[in-house]
Amino acid sequence: MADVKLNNIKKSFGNVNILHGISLDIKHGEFVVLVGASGCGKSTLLRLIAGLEEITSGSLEISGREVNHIAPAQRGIAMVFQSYALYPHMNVFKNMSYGLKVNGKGKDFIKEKVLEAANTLDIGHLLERLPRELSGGQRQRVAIGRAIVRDPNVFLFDEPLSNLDAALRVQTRVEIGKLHKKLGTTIIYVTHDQIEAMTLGDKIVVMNEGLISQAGTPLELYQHPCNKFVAGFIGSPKMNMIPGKVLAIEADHLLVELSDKSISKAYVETDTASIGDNITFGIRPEHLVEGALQETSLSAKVSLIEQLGEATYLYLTLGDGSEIVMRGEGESTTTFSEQINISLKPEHVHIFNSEGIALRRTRAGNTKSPAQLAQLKAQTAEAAAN
Amino acid sequence: MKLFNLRHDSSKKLMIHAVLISYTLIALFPIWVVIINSFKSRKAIFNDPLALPTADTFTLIGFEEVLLRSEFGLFFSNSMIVTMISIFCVLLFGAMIAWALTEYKFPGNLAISVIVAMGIMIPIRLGTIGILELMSSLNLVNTLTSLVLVYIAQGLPLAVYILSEFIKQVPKELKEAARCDGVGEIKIFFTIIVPLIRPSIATVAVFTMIPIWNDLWFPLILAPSDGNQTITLGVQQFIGQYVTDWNSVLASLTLAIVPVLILYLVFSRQLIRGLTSGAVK
Repeated sequence: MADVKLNNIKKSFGNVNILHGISLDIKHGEFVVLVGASGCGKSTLLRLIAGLEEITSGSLEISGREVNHIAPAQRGIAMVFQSYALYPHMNVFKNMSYGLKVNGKGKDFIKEKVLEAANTLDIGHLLERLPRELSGGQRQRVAIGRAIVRDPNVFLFDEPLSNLDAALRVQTRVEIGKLHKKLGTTIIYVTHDQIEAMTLGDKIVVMNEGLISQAGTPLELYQHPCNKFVAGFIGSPKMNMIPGKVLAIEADHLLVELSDKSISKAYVETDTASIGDNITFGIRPEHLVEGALQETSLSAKVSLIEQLGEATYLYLTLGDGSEIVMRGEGESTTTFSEQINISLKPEHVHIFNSEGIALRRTRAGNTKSPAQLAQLKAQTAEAAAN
Repeated sequence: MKLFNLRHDSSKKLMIHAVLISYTLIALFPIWVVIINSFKSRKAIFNDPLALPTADTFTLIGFEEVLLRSEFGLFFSNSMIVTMISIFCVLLFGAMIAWALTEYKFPGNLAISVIVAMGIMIPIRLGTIGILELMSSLNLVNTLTSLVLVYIAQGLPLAVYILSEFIKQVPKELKEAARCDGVGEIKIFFTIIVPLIRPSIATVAVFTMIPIWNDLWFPLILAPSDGNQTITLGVQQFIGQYVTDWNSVLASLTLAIVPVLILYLVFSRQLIRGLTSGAVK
């Protein structure tokens, strides 16, 4: 089927190396999200897969066939552009049917295909309109429709939601997710928005400076970021990073001293740690609570409060001046410049060594995707039935 | 402050309009004089060149002379043929060259660009003798073909230059989307690029058409014989060494304005801005 295999793909423009060797296996039907800061090469990678740029070295296989030198149209891909790229002088029907028409498909076939796609996307009433007469969301659907009618093996999305307003973005995101379930095709989706990545992806590929930092299920990336970059990228607000030192190594945890002299346990693999190592102590804002309720507690001064209703973000300064953020209760009564106690569970602590590489957490929660969980449940049900 | 700005703005606008209107008047004045005098008797033309035709002085003798007793129809169709074919070729080849130079990297790209730029800077009339020699060795002297060839050469550089600028503005994603759709490069050019740069093609058409229609130089040198004269050359037959038939000269000049005006109206309808809106946000 439509597996996509990237084997040590490199790309350079003149002397500038953009991609330094990307290897990735994408299974048929998988929704893969390429995510990273701007300039990390994610869009370039997508364009290489589409065939719009030439691969400098390495091999790209789609459905088991090397396509390095094959024209975009013959790769069985369809791309949805950030700017939609609708043909401005053609109406919606022509926009969607043009690719089929130039490839010599019959009139009835084209009509059937376009109407089917238009119904799927709920744009049947717009077929006579020109792109300039459509709203942003409608244009986006037409662009997706143009991709669907071609029955591609692989859909490529290049930041498709970034031109939409916030409400429409959420709505379209859900629709893209549903569309994937309905069509069951492979989707490669580029975004810089980690929420889009977390919500849509079966697999997220975090890219940084032309290399893959980590690839895995959304929860795997959330629970086990392999380095500081991924840890900072996944999750919003960002994970708090506090410098610290290893005080002692126990059987199943480390004892670390933070820069404000407070001491905490950390349940991580201890093999590579040694006493006195400089480490970074990471804790997500949502894992901090107000008051000394949990095992490790810190003392901090409030420097800014953001009330969102469902939660309150407290921006805090520790004793040594380190800035951290916590996600508190929505009804938090803490006030500005108050000195408060906050606490955390050592199970939630991430530890990164001096090179920024994570020591794997030993007491993390679930990392399986809904699909994997469904499979597991089915297996247990089957086992129980037997 | 706002009021001051408003006043400042409107006085600036007034200034601009004053300049433009006076320029328009200056530019239109000779045409106006030609048209009103073409409807006047010879005597009236010389008595008071700026007066409008009155019941006494009104006459259509010039038009009669031109339409009934000369080969005006032939001159006219010669001019039309030369102009239309030249415009068509200039637009087609100009757009194709512009697309090739902006879209594709190939050896010689820079060299061709430089030659095109030089073509804008050097007036083609400097090469008249060379062109005449070339045409005579090709046995093309006294043919309309020679005129068409020269006019294509004359119109191409500016056409390429202007159209390249517009082709560069066509969003890259549109071409890429078409390539993903499996549209061939030639089809992309004719079905995506050309429709999108239509306004600029119309502009180039107008710019190309007027000097060709009005040219006297090359028809005089390359195709002066009977049967191949263009309208500007044909008019000359009314201008004699001793007597000039001013009625006929002015009448034929007036008639010569008509097709240019019609072509201009046709093309200017295409000069609609914002055709690309809606393509990309």
